Amino acid sequence: MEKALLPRTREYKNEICEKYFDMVYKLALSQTKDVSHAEDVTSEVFLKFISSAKAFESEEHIKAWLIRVTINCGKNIFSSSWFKKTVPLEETLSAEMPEEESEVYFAVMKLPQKYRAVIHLFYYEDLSVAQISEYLNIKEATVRSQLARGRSLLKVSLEGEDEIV
Amino acid sequence: MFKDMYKRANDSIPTSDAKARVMASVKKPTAVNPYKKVARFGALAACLLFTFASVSVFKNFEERNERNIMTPVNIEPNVSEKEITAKTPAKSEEIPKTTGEVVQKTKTETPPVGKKTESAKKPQTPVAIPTQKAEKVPENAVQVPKEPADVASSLKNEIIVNKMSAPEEYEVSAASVHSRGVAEKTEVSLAEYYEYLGKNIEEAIVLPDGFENQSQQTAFFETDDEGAYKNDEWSFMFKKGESFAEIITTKNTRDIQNIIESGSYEISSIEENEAVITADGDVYKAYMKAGDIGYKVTTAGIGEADFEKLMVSVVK
Repeated sequence: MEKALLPRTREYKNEICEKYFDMVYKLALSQTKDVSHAEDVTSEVFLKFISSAKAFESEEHIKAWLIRVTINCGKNIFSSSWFKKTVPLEETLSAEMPEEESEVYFAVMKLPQKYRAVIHLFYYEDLSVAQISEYLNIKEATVRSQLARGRSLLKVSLEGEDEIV
Repeated sequence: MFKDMYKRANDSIPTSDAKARVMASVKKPTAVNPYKKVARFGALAACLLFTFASVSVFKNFEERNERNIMTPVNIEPNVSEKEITAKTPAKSEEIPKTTGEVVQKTKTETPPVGKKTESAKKPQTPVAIPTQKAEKVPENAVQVPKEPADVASSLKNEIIVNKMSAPEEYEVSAASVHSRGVAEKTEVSLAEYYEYLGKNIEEAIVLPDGFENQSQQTAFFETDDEGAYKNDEWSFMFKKGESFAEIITTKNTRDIQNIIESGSYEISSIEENEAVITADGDVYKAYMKAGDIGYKVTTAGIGEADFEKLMVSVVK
């Protein structure tokens, strides 16, 4: 039996962009560690989404696609020479966050990129290991090991102030 | 604990300004990925540079070969070179030889002396003197066999018809693109295509009465991993007896831009958009870029006035 496909109209796509802006932007920020690059990545992701001819089966499918494309676009920014010209995230965000929270947030930002992605998706987006594995197209065992490695690095960084669950 | 703190930290990140900026850029119908544009320009510049370098090398090689044939190094000339230069006429002229043969000679050529070469024995084909117009063509332009352009200008939109065949390498119809064997294809309806193009072509165009719309209603477009169209040409076909008008639209405008910038054609202006228009009998062809849309228009059996109306209606 054929699955019903979601509409591909511009209005519907605009709604999706509005709805998932925070998710894409914050994931992009965790990847690029720069506010303006995060905006660029978010714009690029949504432009790709709007011009995409892909037929999505569900909103879950769209969400998975957006996460995957955001991670890929974030990686492309890393390889660009423009990435060198960044403003440290501490300068732009520390004023907005309470002290304790900012310590945790910047500890995550100091992790290598691959750990940041899984930590962010697991702890902020509440995705399961299976979902992260599916969305990022990596094995569940890899996700688990990256989570474990990320947690242990965070423990060292935060010097056992919190137990990371 | 960690989870809550990390969530609170993320929730405290201000997003409203960024959201307003991003959504404003995304909702614009003509928004284009700047990275892609830069990459395209880079690729185009590299192609032009390569073509220019190849042509220069090839020209030098040909010139050197020609010189070698004309002045064999192993034969001692019995007339001094100065004398020959002095006797050589400034422009091409016919020099009667003792055998009654006629050869064509130019300023830079040194006549074969001593032993006659094979080429000197045969009567040479007169070399066409390049016209001033041909000299204006930039060296890196795509070399198309060109007759002097017969300029039949229409005042309103500055339509200049190049009386020559359209460049063959770009004559790829939408149908042939779709028939290629490719792995990932997505079916696209006409309504979806209009959404993508940002324009309803059938509503926009003006044709003489009696033309029947025979445009395709669906197409299969090849897409990349992220669902972006790799080819996006759509053929709109209108027929009336033997006459027809075909409008192919695309957002991949590089080929059309190349034709316009080749320097081989007179450029028309249609509603302030540059276009190359060619005519071969009663067949008119136009390559035009308007905004981010490229148009390849072919008509047969309709006059220049109707063709102009069609072109104007396409971009309006």
